Amino acid sequence: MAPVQLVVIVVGIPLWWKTTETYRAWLPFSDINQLDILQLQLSVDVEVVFSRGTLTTEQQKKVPHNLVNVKEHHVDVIYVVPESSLLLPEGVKVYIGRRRTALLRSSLVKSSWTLNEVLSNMNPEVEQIVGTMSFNHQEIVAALSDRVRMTKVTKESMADSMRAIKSSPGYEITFSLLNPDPKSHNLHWDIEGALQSYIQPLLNKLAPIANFSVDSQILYYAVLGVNPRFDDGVSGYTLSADSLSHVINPVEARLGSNAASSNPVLNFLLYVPDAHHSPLFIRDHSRREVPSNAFHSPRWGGIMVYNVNAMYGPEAERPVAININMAKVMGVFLAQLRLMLGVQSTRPPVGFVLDSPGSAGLADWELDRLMWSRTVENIATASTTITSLAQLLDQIGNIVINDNIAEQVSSAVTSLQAAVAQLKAGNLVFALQYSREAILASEKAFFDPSLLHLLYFPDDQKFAIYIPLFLPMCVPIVLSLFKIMSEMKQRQVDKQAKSD
Amino acid sequence: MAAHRYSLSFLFVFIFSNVPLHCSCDTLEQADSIVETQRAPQSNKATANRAEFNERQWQASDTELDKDETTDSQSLRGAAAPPVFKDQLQEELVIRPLPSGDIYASFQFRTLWDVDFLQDGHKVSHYRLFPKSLGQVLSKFSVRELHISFTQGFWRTMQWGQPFIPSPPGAELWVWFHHTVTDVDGNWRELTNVLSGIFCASLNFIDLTNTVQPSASFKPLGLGNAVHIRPVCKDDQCTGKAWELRQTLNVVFDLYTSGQGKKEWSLFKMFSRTLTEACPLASSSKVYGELFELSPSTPLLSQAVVLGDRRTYSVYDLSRSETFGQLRSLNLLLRWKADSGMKIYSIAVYLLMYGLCYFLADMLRPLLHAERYVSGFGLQIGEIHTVIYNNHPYRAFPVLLMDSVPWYLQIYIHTLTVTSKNRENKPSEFSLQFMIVHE
Repeated sequence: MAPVQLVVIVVGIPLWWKTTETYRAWLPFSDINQLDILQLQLSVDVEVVFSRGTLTTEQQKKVPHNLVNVKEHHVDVIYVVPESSLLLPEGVKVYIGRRRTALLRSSLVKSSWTLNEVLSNMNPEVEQIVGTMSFNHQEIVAALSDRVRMTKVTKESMADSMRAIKSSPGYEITFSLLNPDPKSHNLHWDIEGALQSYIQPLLNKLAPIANFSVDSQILYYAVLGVNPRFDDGVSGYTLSADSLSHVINPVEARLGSNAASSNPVLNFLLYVPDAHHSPLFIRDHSRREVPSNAFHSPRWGGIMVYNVNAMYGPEAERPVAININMAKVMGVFLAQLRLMLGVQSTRPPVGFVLDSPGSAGLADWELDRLMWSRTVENIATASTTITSLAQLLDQIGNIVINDNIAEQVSSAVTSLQAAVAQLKAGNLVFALQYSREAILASEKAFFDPSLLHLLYFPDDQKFAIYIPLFLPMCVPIVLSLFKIMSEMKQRQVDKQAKSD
Repeated sequence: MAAHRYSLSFLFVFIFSNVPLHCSCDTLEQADSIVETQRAPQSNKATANRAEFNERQWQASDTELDKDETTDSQSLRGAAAPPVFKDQLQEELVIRPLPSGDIYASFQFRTLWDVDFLQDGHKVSHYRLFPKSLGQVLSKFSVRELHISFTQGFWRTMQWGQPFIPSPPGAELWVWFHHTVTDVDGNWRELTNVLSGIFCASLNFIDLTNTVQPSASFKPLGLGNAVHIRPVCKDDQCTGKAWELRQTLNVVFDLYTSGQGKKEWSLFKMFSRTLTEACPLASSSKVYGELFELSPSTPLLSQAVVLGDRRTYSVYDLSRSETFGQLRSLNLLLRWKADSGMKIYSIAVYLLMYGLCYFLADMLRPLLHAERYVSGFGLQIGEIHTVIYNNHPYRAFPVLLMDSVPWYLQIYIHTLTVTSKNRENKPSEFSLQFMIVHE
């Protein structure tokens, strides 16, 4: 019929279409859309153990006698003790121990109740305990604060939610000793030993949450940005709370961040004031002296001022050699580190007594709380990243989707789904692991540079390239097509005329 | 105060070197750096009284490479033994008047640290005198030796002689990686980006289009090449490894005083301040002035061999309080007569009084120097000439020339001709390396 036109239409056009399309690997868009409607269900296992004297004999018969193996998953165990028990001091209702156990003083139990009624009567107290030991509504909402607007925002809860550093796979912690006056003070600190004994146990315990890398340095001739004022009352110099925000700026340029990694950095500075401005005290907003002589800046780190003027007399030969008391310093830094990492200083409800955190600096249930909020935060962030990436890829048809990006996205989606399932089942450790994997995969996919290859290739350019090539060639083809069509019409008209 | 102008060269050089200590420690004298000799110089043409004079005047150099101990143990209340530090800082300033009337001031700060960055398994985390940002860069990229220099201006070799550390204008970065590094290109790219962040310099524009990997020239300075950097021994037996960070700042001052022929300079005129104390962190702090009628005078003298020439310097040790005198401040002054007068005056005076030889300005002309110029224009007629001069009276030197040509300059290799003394010469070795053109 018309071989050229046939070839062009049948072979040419599909070939051109196929060879000029961008490579887009398949993405699980439907699953991603599902993730957008993030519905989290968190459950925690609680075991209630009734001790002798809390239940009547009939009620006792109903209670099973086997003990769940508490080592396998994170189970909070609540021991119910009789009302008259002397284990708990007067007026104290609940005692929360260091390792996920709690003592609850039983309230009045009527002998006519069934076991279910007994349990439902204890419900509010158990909820309170679990809320302190695992998670409660406010915390979860704070962790999701990127996606969910906090309804009841108090100043305190806002401050709490902004203090902890954002979830990240790893952190760098840097301890710096600032010596503005090396002529007078020759400072020595045994930082290595102090880190081993005070900070490292805490970091080891926090290992499931993130990787930590610790280092230290000494900065000489580093001055604070503020001139402290002399106060006759304490015969020393004071820094007021308002000026504290200006203190960090000139020092920060010299601190340096780790060139070896892109993890967020937490800085802890120990400042020994120079001989002319000693002693130096910090005043808080109500003009009272801060006993620890330290302050911290949310999501950045902390500073402690260490006065050494009491350690030498005026006749001492300069520079004076001074050994810094690391126990005092590390105590303050440890407390600040806990706050920075998000271990909330909980205000327990009335009648609750909390045990001290122990040698590692962190109680087991505090770790649990951190893990819950971290998991939720990770899941929220990862799902936000993935859904926005999917939207972007959907809208802009120009972006190349390589195989490795598709792989990362798929693995992120499966990890997220697994994390949500584990949260529902109450397996905290696995949920945290999956959520960390999901975050890593989603960040990798989102920030991949290969996405940008053909991004800035506008359509006008395509036409500018095609028209000089194809237009001259197409003109005779199109004209001949018209001619064929008009010939066919003519023939039809002739046929009609003939049959008539 | 006379008007000062910073003349051209303004160099700022960082040098890190891993200094292996399996060296032979007899090379304590250096061609390029200023050192104090441990033994009395025997190779001079010394007269009898001069040898005596040496014993009185030469300072026994204490290469105190051992620890910077803390003093004043009575102020420690119940403390343990004074802490022992593994790193130390030495600072020195060399002032040399140049024959053209300018003053060349070279600051050098050396930090020596007895640690191994590249050791596996043991991460270096605790820094004192050595900067943490640089230490972490070294360990992350497995760097064996690194030199960075930033230069503004141009060093006039013909008029000023050789600088202590030669560097081209602009920024220059040399790195030697450890042999365990497999992906050198990737490492190099990351390293330039990190360093450009640390120094606020656009080193990240040093990408593969203007980087070369020299195969024959540029041996690492720290390894056995005794010409440039002195291997540092921890003790007499030379055991163990140490890292040396050398930061130098070279400035040439252009002092035009109103007096004719009389060129005077002083520390106060150059820097608007005098020296009042040594750095409390430094284990040694010295100022070296080249010996012409310097005031205040000092009993300490030092000799060093610089680029084949022996020079004499006055040493001012800032760690001793008597250096600062009554006024508690040190201001080096120099009065310098006109050139021709100086020549005769100095030979007479110094030969007479000190019996030393003072070499003339001719001595400052470097033995080897190179020039380059362009002739012609365009791709057909244009030529680039590189001329290398050898000023030694009788010796011939083998020369290795490494040239890095940017991608936009298209030169024809077959048109390369080497001529010496107007006769054609063939290079004994010629190697060509293509880098990627343009991404």
